[in-house]
Amino acid sequence: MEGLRNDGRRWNELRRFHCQLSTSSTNSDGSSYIEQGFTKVLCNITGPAEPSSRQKVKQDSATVSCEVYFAAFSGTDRIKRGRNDKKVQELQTAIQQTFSSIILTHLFSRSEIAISIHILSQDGGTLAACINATTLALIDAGIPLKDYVCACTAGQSTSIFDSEGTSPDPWLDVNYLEESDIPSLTVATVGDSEKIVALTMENKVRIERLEGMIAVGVSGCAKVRGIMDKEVRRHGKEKLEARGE
Amino acid sequence: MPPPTPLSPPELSYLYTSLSLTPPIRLDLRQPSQFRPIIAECSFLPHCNGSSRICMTEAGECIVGIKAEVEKDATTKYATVIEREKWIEVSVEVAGGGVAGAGSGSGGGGGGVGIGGISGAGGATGRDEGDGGAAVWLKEGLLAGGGGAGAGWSILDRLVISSGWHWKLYIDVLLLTPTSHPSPLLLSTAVNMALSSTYLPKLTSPHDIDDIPTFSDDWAISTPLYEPTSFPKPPISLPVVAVGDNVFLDPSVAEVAAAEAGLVITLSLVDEEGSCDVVGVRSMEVGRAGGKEGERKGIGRKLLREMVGACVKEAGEVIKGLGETTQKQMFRA
Repeated sequence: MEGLRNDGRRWNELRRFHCQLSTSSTNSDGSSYIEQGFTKVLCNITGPAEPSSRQKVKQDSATVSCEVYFAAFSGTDRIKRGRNDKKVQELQTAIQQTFSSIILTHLFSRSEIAISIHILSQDGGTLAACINATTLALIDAGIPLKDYVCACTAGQSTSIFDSEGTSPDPWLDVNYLEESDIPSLTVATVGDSEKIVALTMENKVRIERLEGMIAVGVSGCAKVRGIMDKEVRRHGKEKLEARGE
Repeated sequence: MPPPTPLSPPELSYLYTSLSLTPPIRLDLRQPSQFRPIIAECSFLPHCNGSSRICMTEAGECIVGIKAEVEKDATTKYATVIEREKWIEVSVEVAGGGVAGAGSGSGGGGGGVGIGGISGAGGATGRDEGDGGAAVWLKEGLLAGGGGAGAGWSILDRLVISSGWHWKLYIDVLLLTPTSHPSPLLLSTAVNMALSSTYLPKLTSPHDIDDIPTFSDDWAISTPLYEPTSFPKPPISLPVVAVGDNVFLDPSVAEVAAAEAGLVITLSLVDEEGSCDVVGVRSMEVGRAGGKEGERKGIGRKLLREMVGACVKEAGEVIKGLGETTQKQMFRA
């Protein structure tokens, strides 16, 4: 069953994906900016550096710490989220755990890699955008990673059926309207291996729908990886040309 | 406490000497009234009425988002001024340092950043709870309105929707670079640009009806908060320092450390020739070339006048330049 979603996309189409590296050259070791539709996220990396506190010192590997800030103006209504907000903490933990396993932390013992993420505008897929932005910022900072970590969302409509009673294909890269309406999940994969490093879902969905959703999400991750890789190469080439090499 | 610098006493002394020469020599060879280049963008956040992003090489990066919400007047006959001032809420959030709360004016090291060490700002009792020093002086400049040709003009009048209803303006300032020394110029430039890119939806219900107002959802006919063609324009605050008899605009961190006196002067543009009104003056903490607190000298009347004069002379061009950039970016499509 083919049809168009309310923003005019087909079921397997991404929103406009725009990314930039080295956005703030002054005060961080690596930075990136990502727009996925109207979701806009900025990421800064500091490190590997001396840990800010003794607690963060690990003798044999680097500590990855993550701070997420929701700008008060990021949503439709103005909401201020504090440091201890549940949603903020959840995002921080998810990102920290994902990247602790991807960064080659054993190369930087007794140091800290601090990820600081600013969410400037939210329109669905916040976690996915944060993960993508972090990957790019880490690449910009020159921190060795196993491979790209790319994330994407997928949702499954539960109310639309065709004449035979089967539901349509899962939707790729859901926006805010879809996200609040249908069950959706965020999936992150490593490189083009289709290996999943992060998977979250906050709604109920029938078990037989789940696999389809994950499959669509993973295919989205591959598309995201393609776009990000292209941008990284373009950026690298530009840098080299600027240096006259 | 002035902002901490990595400079040693001999370095400071050298800097002090070169800045007090006639003509003075600045470290980066700028003219005394020359500004450093900035990166400025505006109107890039879809959920905001106005937004801007400013990057400065030393002071770092700042993002401002302005949101307007419809609110019912709480104004009674007896509390008009105080109630009306609550129509604008400014908050400054420093990444890593949390919200700049009360007492942030005292500056100091670590994550807690006093915005440019402006004295008195932290102590001023903000009418809005949790507002830090910077939020207070940013709002002060806004409320000051215009003199001269624009006398009697107030931003609050622009926020009136109809009888009984007004816009509540939330100005959220996000400082992304906690490790650096945020200059007052960075904040005020960002707020200035965000304000001039702020548009409010056009009212479609009649002006004199008390019911909930309705608005057109066509942004092409929305009304600007500050008319692009008329005056006053949004205010701007310029930091200025003095070493000996020399006055320097847009001082770097090192120059602030070496300076003897510092001011932050808030100005608003009043006419096309670029003449400005001073709407606020605050003193800024400076390093006095590492001198001791006891050696503090006051600012002479003549020097004070020179400092204000230098700002007034340059501010017109700065505000006009920012305004033009904003217009260009807004209507490039």
